Amino acid sequence: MGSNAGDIHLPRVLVATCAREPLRLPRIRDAGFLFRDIDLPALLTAAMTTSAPKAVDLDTVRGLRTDDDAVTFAMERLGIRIVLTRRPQTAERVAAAGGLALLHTLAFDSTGVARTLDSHPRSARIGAVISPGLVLPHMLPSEVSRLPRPLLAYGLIMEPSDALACLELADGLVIGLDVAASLAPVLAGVATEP
Amino acid sequence: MPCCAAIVADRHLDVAIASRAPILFILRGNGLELGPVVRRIHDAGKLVAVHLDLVAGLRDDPVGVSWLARAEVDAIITSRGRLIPLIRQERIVAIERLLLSRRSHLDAASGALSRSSPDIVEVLPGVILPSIAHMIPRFAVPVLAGGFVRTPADVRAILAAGAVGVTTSSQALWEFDGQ
Repeated sequence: MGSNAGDIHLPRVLVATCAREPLRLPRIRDAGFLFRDIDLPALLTAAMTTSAPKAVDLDTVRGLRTDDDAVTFAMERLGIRIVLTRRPQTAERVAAAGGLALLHTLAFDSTGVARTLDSHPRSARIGAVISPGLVLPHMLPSEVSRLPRPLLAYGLIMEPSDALACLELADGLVIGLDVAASLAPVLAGVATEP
Repeated sequence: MPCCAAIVADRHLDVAIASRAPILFILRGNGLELGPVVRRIHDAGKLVAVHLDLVAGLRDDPVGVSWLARAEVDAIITSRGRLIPLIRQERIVAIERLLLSRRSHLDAASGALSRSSPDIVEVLPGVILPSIAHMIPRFAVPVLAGGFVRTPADVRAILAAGAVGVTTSSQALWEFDGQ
């Protein structure tokens, strides 16, 4: 179930939300929220009103600069210890502050992945987000093995079979609420496997 | 021949020129010294497309477009829609890349493509096109697909999903006829 990096647990399933609707998690074990494409005040409200595990795609928070103060705000004020970012420097700051950083790895083609990984800090508290996650089952085993852990599959995962295929290779995945609801019966089975 | 050769290292050029691939996509290398490469490809009876955003030495701006026009490339690939009209003004085929990462980005990306009006759209990562083709609007221009395309089965599925061809660095596919 999920993955642990130090004392931080990455849920098996993160439901993406911009908090325009009330926060709701389908009946999936080991699930949490990923706040993304969200306004800063809405992030503040949402983070304070849920006790579920939570992560944030920091670069997509409108009104928030991606700097050290923003990292401190997210982790200490909002209690969000899992931070997705495109910026290696931000990831290193999150890791240094005791959080789990997941650095976006754009997987549009194999050479692009290799180039992106060249700039990965390769620290124990810095994993990776493979984007789009749907491509993960199409990557060679040698390519998957080079991806930092923990590994989150994020993007264009909309079918149960795709979700299952991604979960065999990644430590977690990001899906929308509508997709999560339709996948709940399938993912419940996966999440409860030892 | 549905497979275009994606050149990601200089050493692949000779193999691509000798292959059955009709079009060579130059994705790496020195963009400032492309003239001899373009002439070799043309002499082999093939067409050449250059990725302005990826080759070294050139800025992805109007002057970079003009530079490639002077090198007599047949097509320019870019993800920057603002350059598409400039490429077409140079009477060069304009290929705009549609980078697929999230469902929520698809509408914006598709709208941007409508505004820039490229001659060809290249979808990446192409290997997932069969899974997400139903979410992409039908374009009025031909669609290519590239990225993680490695097997004849990948190519067949992509063609069945509506693409007219693929771009791939897998050299075995440069000989594949699509059947």
